[in-house]
Amino acid sequence: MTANGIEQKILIARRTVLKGAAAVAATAGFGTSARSQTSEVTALMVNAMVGPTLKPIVEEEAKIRLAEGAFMSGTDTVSRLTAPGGARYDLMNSSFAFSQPVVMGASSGQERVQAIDTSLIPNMKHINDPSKVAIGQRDGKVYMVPHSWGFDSILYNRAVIPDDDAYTQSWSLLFEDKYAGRIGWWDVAHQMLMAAGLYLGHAKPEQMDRNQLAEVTKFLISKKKNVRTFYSTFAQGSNLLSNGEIDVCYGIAPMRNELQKRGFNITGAWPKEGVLSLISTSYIPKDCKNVAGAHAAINAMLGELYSRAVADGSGYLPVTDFGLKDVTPEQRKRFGYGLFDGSVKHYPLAFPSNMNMWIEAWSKVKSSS
Amino acid sequence: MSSIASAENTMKTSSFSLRRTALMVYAAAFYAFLYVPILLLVALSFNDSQITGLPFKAFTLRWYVQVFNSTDMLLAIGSSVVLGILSAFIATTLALLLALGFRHEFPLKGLLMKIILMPVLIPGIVGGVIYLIFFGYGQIPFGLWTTALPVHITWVLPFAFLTLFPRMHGLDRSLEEAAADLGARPSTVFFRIILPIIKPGVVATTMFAFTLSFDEFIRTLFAIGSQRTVPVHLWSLLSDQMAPFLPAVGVIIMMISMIVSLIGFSLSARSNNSIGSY
Repeated sequence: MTANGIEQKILIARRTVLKGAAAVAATAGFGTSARSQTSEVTALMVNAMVGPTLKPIVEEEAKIRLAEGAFMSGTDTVSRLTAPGGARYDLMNSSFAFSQPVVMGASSGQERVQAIDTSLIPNMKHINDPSKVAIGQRDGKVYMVPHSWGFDSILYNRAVIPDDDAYTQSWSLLFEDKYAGRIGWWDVAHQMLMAAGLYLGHAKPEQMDRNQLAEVTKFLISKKKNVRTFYSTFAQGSNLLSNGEIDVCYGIAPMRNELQKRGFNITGAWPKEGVLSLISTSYIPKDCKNVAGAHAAINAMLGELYSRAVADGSGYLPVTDFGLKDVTPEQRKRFGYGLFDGSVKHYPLAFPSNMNMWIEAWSKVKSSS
Repeated sequence: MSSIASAENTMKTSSFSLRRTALMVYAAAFYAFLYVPILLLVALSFNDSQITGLPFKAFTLRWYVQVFNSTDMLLAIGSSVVLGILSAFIATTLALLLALGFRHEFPLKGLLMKIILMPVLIPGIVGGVIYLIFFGYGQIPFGLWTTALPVHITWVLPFAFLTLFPRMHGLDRSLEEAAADLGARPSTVFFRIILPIIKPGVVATTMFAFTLSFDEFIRTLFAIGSQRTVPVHLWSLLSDQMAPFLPAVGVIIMMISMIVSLIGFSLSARSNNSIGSY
């Protein structure tokens, strides 16, 4: 290291120590007066949606400070919405198909969120046609607004598995024997059983009855021998894939995006049975403390700047027409914009008719020897 | 005769040497299993690679720079440290008072003891949900000081009590009685007699309580809202992205724990010396 380099490091260190002291002071409460001058919106949503390039856009456009909670899962998000004492977040976000029954309740008057004042969200008019199915409305009132598209697929190491390998054209890559010992499964019942169900030819896997689910379970147990490991967090899956411990795994769009950005030769397959797609939606809990701020945040996330940055910033696709502006064919292919024009086959990650049965089935897969 | 004795001596020597070698191998393996992963973590924190793992590519400080340049991370570290100090101090004080009280007999003493120790027996995730419901019904807003602090205190308290109670229980009561006979008031007896004797234990308990609080994750996750401690912040980062800076965070956390432990050892040693000098 050169003398200049060392000096620079020392300068950085001094700066960081000062920042650290400021952070500790803020923790102790000294920073609260400065903060209280900006409108704070507490949000519970996937962290990648408010990543380093995206959060400043929302904060700048909505004139708010976004304080995001630690997102665990869609299940946790809707559970918190129904928890005693209210959600205690100003803004929440989770998959439409998964959350809608809980968020909006079975019938009018049972909604667990407040109606959204669409006059405060002018960018709603830019929502593209395929995404409009995720506008949660009842009796002329809107309760859920689409935020972004995501899709789950198979991630694989191109250095080991060539793109023209027939296995990459289907979910078989995740199950069959060819890459035995190189496969990682995500330790989640819903997604893994949906993928296996689609692969085994079930037209509507979320509606599988007990016998059909038993067949899928039997299949997964028979293929478990090919699995090197199960992973629980996406960081764990990404790390396993990037260090060559595994070459194939179930993966979500942000994982692929992150790995490619870091220069790894990893890509996502486009299985002929369809990728598993979902539309994330934003909603405002009834106990929201900053209703105006929450509306402004939703509007900003449907705005041009956010829409054009969201694919590169998170791996999720925008729900507005803005997002398609100036997108190159390479980006269109890489990010999966084909979901919108039908060139990429997808199947909605719908909520199973009997989730308890699915969890039981997945437990059998995991505990089998 | 002498040749038989000589053979016996040789056998004894070789048997001793064998046992010594086995012991050394055992000790080496023991320390290797204990410390090599930690050393590996330190080495990986300087590895200029996007992968958290080997091979070691080149030396870099960038992961540390990245951590220290992250305001969110610094805020989380600051929150964890302050929360740890406060919860350790409060929990140890409460545990000390409880340990003093439990030296006496009173009705339902056994039941109360079980209630105090209950948080240790309840699984973390169940505890987290219980706190979520409890604070929900109480309409207490989520936050570092409103909800996370009480959660940490109730989590740490039984451990602090379990550490302090045996020390208090084994304390020679005749010393207190002698002081009282000489006219010392109860507060004087506590501050001049009891506290100096148990001070090393109190300090060690406080340090132990701090590390317990610093590492607590699952209960905090349910109760902290949009604020972050280090474990909660790391969870957020790990939920959807790679974290090659993770070993650097690990080393920083380890350094904080080591500094706290060293302070604790130093204070304990000083207390022991001062007791010895009486």
